[in-house]
Amino acid sequence: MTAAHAPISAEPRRADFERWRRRSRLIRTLRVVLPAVIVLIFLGLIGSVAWSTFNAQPRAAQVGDEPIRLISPRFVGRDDKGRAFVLTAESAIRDRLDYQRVILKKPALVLDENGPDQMRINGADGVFHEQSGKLELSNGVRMEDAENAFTTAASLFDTKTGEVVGSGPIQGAGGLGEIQAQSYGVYGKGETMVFKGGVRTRLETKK
Amino acid sequence: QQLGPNSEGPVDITADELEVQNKACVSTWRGKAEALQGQARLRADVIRAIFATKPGAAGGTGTGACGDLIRMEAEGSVYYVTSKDQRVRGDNGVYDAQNSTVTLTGDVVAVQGQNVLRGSRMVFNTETGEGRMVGTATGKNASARPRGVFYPSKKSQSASK
Repeated sequence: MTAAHAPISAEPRRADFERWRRRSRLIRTLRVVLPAVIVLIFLGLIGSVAWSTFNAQPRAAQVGDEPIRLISPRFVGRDDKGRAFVLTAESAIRDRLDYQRVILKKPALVLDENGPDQMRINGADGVFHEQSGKLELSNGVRMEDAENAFTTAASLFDTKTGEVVGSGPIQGAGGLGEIQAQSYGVYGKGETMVFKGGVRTRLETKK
Repeated sequence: QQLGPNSEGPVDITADELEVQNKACVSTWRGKAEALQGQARLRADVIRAIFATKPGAAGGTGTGACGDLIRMEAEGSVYYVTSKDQRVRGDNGVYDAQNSTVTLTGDVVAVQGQNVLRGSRMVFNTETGEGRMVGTATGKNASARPRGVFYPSKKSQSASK
């Protein structure tokens, strides 16, 4: 290979080297940039999911929004003692400011239907808090089980524990006889009833 | 079932608090509890009524699963009054519905008119109104022997002169 030829063949070889160097520099850069882009995308995805999860606010009701009205609603569930409950009402409206709060008309609750510890509670008005599982009944509450029947002004039923408490005066009759008191509570599966405040009882005795 | 002689009809019980144990068939009145039937009265800090359990009623929740009254227990500052002006105080008392007896124990003091009787245990027959004071100690100066003070009525006093 003569000297004359050397410069000619050297020139293309240098160009090749230059192109090869540029190409390897590009590959080296891509090797860094592409994984970084992947990581950024991944982090962005996680960030958006976390953001929407923690900042998910129920959409505030607008003034013009019509409240959600339910006709013959039915709520079912089970308390922590395994007793099924069915809550029905004539109608219900979801509170526009708190969707978990349902305002009921003529609510009726049946606990442990056809079971040994069946209990029925109904009232003229009620509010059911779906999240906490608490049912407030008011305006002439009537509570019945196999042997007892009581009326009271207001009562609070916890669908999670299956317990009923009431602060208003209560009166009624049961297997024990007639009972009046200022407040009451029903605990266990209806096994324990506690009456407080000016308790008056009339026990029927055997002749 | 009667708390005292000539006492019939329902028993009215008042208290600060009532706890009804449906399955155990036990009802407990607490806080100035008072049971009233006719002219008989039983007052105590706590009154507990125990009822018979109807067979096969274990699953039932209501007290209707419970039968008749078996016994009524009174605890703390027991005060028992019958229609024959018999007033008795004691620490504890038990009314046994089947035997128609009221038994008071502890420091028992029975008063009828001017007569006073003191002992550690008194058993009353709620149908006849007879009371029998029983002592746990024997011997001349034993402290727990029944002691009593009786005032003969005027007629018998003039007859004895």
